[in-house]
Amino acid sequence: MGQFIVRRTLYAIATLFILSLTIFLVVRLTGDPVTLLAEPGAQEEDLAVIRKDWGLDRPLPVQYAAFVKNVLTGELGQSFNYEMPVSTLYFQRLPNSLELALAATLISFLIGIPTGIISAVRVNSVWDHVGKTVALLGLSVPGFWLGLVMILIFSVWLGWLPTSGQGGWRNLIMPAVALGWYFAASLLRLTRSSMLEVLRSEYIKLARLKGLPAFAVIAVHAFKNALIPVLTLAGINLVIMLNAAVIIEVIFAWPGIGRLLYEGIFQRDFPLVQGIVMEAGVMIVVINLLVDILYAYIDPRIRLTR
Amino acid sequence: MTPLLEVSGLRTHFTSFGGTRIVKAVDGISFTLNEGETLGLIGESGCGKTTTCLSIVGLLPTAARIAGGRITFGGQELTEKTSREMRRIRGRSIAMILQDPMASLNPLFSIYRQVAEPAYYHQAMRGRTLRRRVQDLLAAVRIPSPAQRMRDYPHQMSGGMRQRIVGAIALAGGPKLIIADEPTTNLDVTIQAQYLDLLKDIQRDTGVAIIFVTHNLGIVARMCDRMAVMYAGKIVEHGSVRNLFNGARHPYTRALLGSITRLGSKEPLYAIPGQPPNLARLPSGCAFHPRCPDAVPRCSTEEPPEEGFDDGWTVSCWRAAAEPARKEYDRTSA
Amino acid sequence: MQPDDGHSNRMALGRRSVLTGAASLAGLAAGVPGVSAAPQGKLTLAWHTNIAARWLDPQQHDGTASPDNFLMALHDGLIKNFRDQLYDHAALAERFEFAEDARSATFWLRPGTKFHDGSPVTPADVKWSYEHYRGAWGEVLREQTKAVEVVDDKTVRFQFKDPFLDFPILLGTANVCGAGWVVPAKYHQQVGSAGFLQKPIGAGPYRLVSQEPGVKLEFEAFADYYRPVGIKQLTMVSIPEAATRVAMLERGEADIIYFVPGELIDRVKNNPKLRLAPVVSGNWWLEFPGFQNPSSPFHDKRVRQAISLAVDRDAINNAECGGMGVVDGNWINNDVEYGMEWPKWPHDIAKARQLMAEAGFPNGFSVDWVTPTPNYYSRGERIVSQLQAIGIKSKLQVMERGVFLKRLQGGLKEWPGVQILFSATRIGGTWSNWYDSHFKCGGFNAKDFFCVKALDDMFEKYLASYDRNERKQLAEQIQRTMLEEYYFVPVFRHAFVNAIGPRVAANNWRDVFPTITTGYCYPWEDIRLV
Repeated sequence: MGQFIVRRTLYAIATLFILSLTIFLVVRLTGDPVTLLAEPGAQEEDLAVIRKDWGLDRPLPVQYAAFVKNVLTGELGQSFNYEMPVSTLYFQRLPNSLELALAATLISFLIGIPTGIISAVRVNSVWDHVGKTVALLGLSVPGFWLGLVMILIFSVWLGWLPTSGQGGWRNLIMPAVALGWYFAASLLRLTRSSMLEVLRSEYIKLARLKGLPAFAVIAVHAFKNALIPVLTLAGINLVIMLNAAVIIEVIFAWPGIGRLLYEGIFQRDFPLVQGIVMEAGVMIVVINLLVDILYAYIDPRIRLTR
Repeated sequence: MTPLLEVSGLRTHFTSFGGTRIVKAVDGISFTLNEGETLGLIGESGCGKTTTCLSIVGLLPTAARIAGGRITFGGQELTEKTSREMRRIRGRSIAMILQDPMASLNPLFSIYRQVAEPAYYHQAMRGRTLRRRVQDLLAAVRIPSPAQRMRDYPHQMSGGMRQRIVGAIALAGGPKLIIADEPTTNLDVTIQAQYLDLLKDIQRDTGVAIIFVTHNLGIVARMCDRMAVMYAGKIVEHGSVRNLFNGARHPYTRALLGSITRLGSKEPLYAIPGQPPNLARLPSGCAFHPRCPDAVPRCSTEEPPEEGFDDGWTVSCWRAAAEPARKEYDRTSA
Repeated sequence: MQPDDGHSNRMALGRRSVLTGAASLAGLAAGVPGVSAAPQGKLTLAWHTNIAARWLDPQQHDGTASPDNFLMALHDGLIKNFRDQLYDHAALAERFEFAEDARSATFWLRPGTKFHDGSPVTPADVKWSYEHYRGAWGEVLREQTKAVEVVDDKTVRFQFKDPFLDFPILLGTANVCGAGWVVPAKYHQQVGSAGFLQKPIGAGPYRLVSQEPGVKLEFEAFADYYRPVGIKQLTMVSIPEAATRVAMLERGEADIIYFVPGELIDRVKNNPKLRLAPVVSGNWWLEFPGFQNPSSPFHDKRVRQAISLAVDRDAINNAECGGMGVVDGNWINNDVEYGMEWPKWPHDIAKARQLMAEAGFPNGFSVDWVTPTPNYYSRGERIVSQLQAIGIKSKLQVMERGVFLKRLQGGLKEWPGVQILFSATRIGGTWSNWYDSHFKCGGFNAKDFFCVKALDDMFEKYLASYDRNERKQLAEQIQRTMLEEYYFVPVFRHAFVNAIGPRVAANNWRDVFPTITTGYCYPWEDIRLV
């Protein structure tokens, strides 16, 4: 297991290296990065200052080395709009996004996985159709509509929940549901198809032949095997929720990274946008690494292979 | 002595296309099996062997159902049991071994876990008793150092060992009947022999009855006391191995026996001409008649009834009554 | 309150300096209902866009009507717009004197005023704040100012190179310029502008206790403010989604919300616990950057006139503000000095089409973008669809307010192609602020868009003149020409519709929105809870 972790971590580092190289090159290949780093309407003198500050007049490899050094030390530049280091802004808002994303992931699990299992076990029955409808609704109902309707019903008419903002657990419910339902849909479909495939397998047949109760067959044998692709998806979903849940964050005035990114884009705040994109990239790599380690924990074939 | 298992007139049908198409996978078969006996169930692919086995254990797919007949096991009528009752019989009194040992074992769980399950669920064994039981089972199927190996995972074992573990699982509930559905087909030839010896030893030690599904007559000769030959969902001949190997009464059986290669023989290899029939569109009369060298006009119009001979020997053939049992298969009139 | 007509320039100015003394006393006494008790209670404002960090620093005032909302809470100025005083309410200055020759202005600081960190407000701070001011109108101020003199420990005198008639208005209008707003010099230098934005310190009625940048500001009443402060804890949250703001108000999570869009006005109106506050606010007009270029389709006056005839102003007013805005003729508010009245424009699609055909566009033409001032996108949409009636095909461009403003300042190069801007402003002061900012060649928000030399020359004459009558005539002539030539197409004066919740004490919504120069509800210290 240890060897596996080491190996996967090395792969992750290699991926991050390629990611940083890509971001570095793309920005420079598509034009002068100075214009991106300067505020719109900046004068020539300002541009020259920025060029010098960021070392953009030095040779490319030197620039890259500086870029990597900056990233490693957490120096992601300064936001124009906030006049604060991007890393400060990002890590200030990260816990908020994490809270929302984890809650939404939990909701997506609660909605998506049991429904997917039931849909698979009772293929083409009423339950299957109910499950597929839930999935379809989750994917097609626009997030902003769902959010606003929930606010209307639960905050204004019933008065049970607060409308917006971050606060106690009550503030978390509606945005988590609005965000999680969409992702529950994809989880449901994947769980269903994965389960269907597993249920057709020989070892499930043998499990039944052993006379195991239905619960053991499905929840123990089938589920663990069906879980593997579902985990990958959950990992990707989590990263998306963390970085790009813009609409939900705006509707519910949740102080998260998605909203920060959206504001950054609109305000042409390039260092902020670049910083967030880099962090999102890092996050994908890290979460994939964690999911891989989780796989190894679940699937002995992976962790015991040399 | 009452037979352990008595199947009479079993019919299992598959419906498809919304009930418009019915495939009679098993169309009225009957056979008996006594305690401690081994019955070989032989036939080409698609003749209904596996469906017969699944009908006995009650694990038919949703499109299939038992349309008629009786399955009496240990005095109990299995066709009338609820699924919960069948679940208690499965894995305990009747166990099944499947063909592909790698696919039969769940890759995510340890050997210990999978072998222990029947005892865990059926006999509520726990803890140290359970561990000892698993070790005993693994030892019984001749797995070396069972205490260490039970911590391993399926992918860490060879094909032969996996199949033996599947055997251990089958034994875990203390069954009276083991149905083995082509258990050696996926094994190396050298391992096959070892495995068959193992089965025989287990049978001698535990007195378990075995239904051995195979298309390999060599195995039948080695393992089985009695044999039933299936064709197109029916049993065309059923009797003791000794009798049939000395001279079968049904042309199909003779053809099968005739196609066994003999070491050192210089004769050309023989195959039965034609294809097994489409079970949805069976030929009229005797299903074998298009391929039968001895067919007479009556064969194409009327289905032959089952004729009984001494020693529990039954045949379904219009020619059987008239002619004696023959060993040689008449190739010249093919 | 308009300056008197019919008097000579100097007399009026002299009278003005006397009036200020009285005004400052009046300002102190007025608008404070009830006994001055200790601040208590909590009030939440739901702000309608994001909160730009620079709005907490008067040094970076961007010349728009946004920072004033925050400056009025956190900071204080020498003089400011307050209730029905347009610019000359004495705040940090106890009194001031604008010399009759308009070459100097003297301010006497109110004794005992402090910054939030306890240090006193000194003339050195005033001087430093003015000289280091880098926001809107900063260049103009620096160019005109000869010296800023600290006369003694409570007096500051500004001296100008030439008569600077507009100085007091500039200094005292919080939604125009921030040079008169005083920050602690030593502290600002110590922490730098970035540090200041994170932990700002001012002399205003509220001090900033905590902030989540861009999201939430939490203020607490400043005990040593020289006026009584009503609410103890003031919170401003950024809630960009209008429906959420209204929901918050309905649920009591917010006490005052800004900007209720057209489609939600009825909802608030029908709720007996809530009150609408339709402040008639900024003026909106269409402008055509680069129309002087002969290749621009807007070069022909008939096209511009056709556009004016095609716009259904009443429809926009009804849809956007529930009809609570004002549809009149001029693009300059009539409540600023020399702001002219003008009759309502006609709406005539047939005539518009005819004019378009005469101008050589019988089938209309394509416009790359119609960009409304953010974030009023829906009224931009209405313009886009209304212009289709005369064959003008265009698309709506959406961008954040900060970017929009920066682009305005960047000039034509930031607006390539054929563009229409649906601009608005709510600045105060005098008509010349409007012209200077939005039309003049080189103006802060116009740069090289228009450059109509004839009018700009007239404007220079206006600025150089000290004759009151001449000034008025020039002002009106310039405005008349602009309107008759359709250089701008005025649309309407919108109502910035806000809403007030039941906890706020008010007999009338104007009690909460008493300052006529703005759509925001300051002075903050005067708000009380029920």
